[in-house]
Amino acid sequence: MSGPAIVVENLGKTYRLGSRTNGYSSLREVLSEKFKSFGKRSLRLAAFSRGMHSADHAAASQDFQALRDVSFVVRRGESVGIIGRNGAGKSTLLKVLSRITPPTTGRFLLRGRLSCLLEVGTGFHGELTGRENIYLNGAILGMSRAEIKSKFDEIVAFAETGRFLDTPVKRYSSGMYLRLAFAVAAHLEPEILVVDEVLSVGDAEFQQKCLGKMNDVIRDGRTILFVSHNMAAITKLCSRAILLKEGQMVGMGAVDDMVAHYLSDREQAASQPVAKRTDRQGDGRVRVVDLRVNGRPSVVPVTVCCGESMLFRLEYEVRGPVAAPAFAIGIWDEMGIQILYMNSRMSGRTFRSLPEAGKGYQSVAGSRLGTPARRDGSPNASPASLSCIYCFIPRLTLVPGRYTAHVSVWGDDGAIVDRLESAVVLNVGAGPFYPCTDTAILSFGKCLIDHSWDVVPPAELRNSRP
Amino acid sequence: MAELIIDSRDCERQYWRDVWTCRELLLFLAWRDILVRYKQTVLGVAWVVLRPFVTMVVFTVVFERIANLPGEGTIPYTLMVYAGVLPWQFFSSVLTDAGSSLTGNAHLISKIYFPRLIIPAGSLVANFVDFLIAGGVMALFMSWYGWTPDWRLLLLPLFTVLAVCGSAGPGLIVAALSAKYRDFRFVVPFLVQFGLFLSPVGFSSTVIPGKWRLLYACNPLVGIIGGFRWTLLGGESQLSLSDVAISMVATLLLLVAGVRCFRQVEKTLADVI
Repeated sequence: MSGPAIVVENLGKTYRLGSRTNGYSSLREVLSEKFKSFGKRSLRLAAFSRGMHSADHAAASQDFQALRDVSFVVRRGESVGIIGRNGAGKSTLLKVLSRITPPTTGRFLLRGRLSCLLEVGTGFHGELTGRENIYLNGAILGMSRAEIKSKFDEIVAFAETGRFLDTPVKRYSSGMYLRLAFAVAAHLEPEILVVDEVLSVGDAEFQQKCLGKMNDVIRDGRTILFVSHNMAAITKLCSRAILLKEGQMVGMGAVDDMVAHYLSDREQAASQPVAKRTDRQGDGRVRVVDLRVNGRPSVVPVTVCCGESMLFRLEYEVRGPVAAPAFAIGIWDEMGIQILYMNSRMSGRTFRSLPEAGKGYQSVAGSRLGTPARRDGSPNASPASLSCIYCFIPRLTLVPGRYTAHVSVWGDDGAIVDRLESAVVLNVGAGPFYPCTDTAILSFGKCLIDHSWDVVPPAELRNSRP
Repeated sequence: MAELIIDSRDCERQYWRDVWTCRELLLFLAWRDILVRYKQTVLGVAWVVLRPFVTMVVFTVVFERIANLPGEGTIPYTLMVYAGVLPWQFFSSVLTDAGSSLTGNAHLISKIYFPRLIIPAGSLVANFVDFLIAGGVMALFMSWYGWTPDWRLLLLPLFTVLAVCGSAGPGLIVAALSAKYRDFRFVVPFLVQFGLFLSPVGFSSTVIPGKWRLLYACNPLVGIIGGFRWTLLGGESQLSLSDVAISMVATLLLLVAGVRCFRQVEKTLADVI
């Protein structure tokens, strides 16, 4: 109907990686760095320290291009989804567009007020009452005082927390807190709304409310940028989508095409041997290097049948110490919804800290802070020790369909040690879970469960319930 | 409809306009700081009065009774000390709060955009409210001693502005540096402790030997505190014009340095904090 709301030209964002991996630097670090470089220049220090320095500097000057040369146009009133795997640059793109962080290259134009919901309840203060927080949060989200005042009653009604308006929000239940926070955000009236999927916290009812509100915003003819891993939500809400991969735009087009592209791309990733995959998250102290399902390699889709047993075999190498590691496998359906999550800690099993006695690893120069200095197997990389771990599912309860499994390793402090999305594609076929093997009926739900039907209550309950 | 162009080569143009648009947010943040500060304290807002009052009593005892330092003419020593505590307390709280303001609001900085200058500015405004309350107490003390200010009181706003600018400059530097180097968490209390004895809070700057006076005046607080005493307590307090002039220059330099330093750090703040 009208001109563009967002024009993005050659946008790029580069982060400097290196010693500041923990977010901030200490003065001592900076001073000693300065001192070292000074000493090096004037004295030409001995070879051993030069060797160390070059490793240091390689790490310090490592640039990470989170976004590269992204250009697109969003018309007014359009709702556009942004999809891509983890680390593809979706969140960075949102952060640059919402001006939280400045772009390194390129430029963009926004026509109209932009509001950004990277989370709800930004700036809520536990000590303040609901009423005070509505004003504070509204102001932080960019509303004027007069605007908040005029919408105040509406917000309270939407949040359904009227009775607790003068109670400090630290005494709120988490549901109430979330409702109030979302109510404020929902009453923003920006011309452009940017939403990250962190919105999808909370229970199903809350999510329904979020999606409903976003639908209203779209119907009002406002522009939306929406990031999600949930392909079902993206397809439902958006007309077009932008697909990002490793910081670059793969394309922008009709949402169905882009989602299909994304899904096939995800499966393609799984066709690469696990050890060769570089699109991982985590600090790398332990790396999964091989994955087998029922003895078959992960590079081709593995067919399994519902009701049958399933065995995952993870081979990992240890490059640094991890106390009480936990291993996890998540199974996601084609629409990007996680159906199953299996974590060794959940099942009550704890494993000894790595590396185990006798299976030593050598610390690599520069691997302080647990950052692996070399992943390429250069001469002084350690001969990392290899071990295996198994995850056994006696009876698979997935409905027939196509799935991908993500594998991850966690430290006892909750740190991600290694995480790999789409490590393997699973084709679940009809199987002996039920006597019936009709795929169409089996696939009505999302998972299978043991059950029986009869005209009388089951024998074990017959005495307790009439 | 408002159009906004953000260019990687020039992100500055928009900045000061944004600061102006966010002026309401500044007040909201200050209001939050004030509300939150005395929650769950027994004495509540009484602290605003108690802190300068106790400082005043202790300083009077230490510097007048024990150290036997001379006051300024017939001005009661207590009043002289309080007139010094007033700007000092403001300065030191601004410095302390500015240091923690950015890290304390890290969740805001990484999730939403607004000119980051708003955060330390908000904490300054919150402290200014405390300063006003403490100023009211000063008025009570003066009437207690039957001390009436003269025409010089009209110049008090000038020195108040000087105190605000003189606190804002170092405050911004500290805010920027503590966001980047957490070492400043330890440096700031140290600075404040030293500053208390380097500034003429508990004593009159007349006790400084003449040949050191010029060097001493480089501490901008010397001129500011001198100005407060002169405007509030009248003619018997000597105001050295050179002190005030040096203080003004130092304040201006610190303010410019503070804004520049802060702007420099601000650019990458969301990535660093």
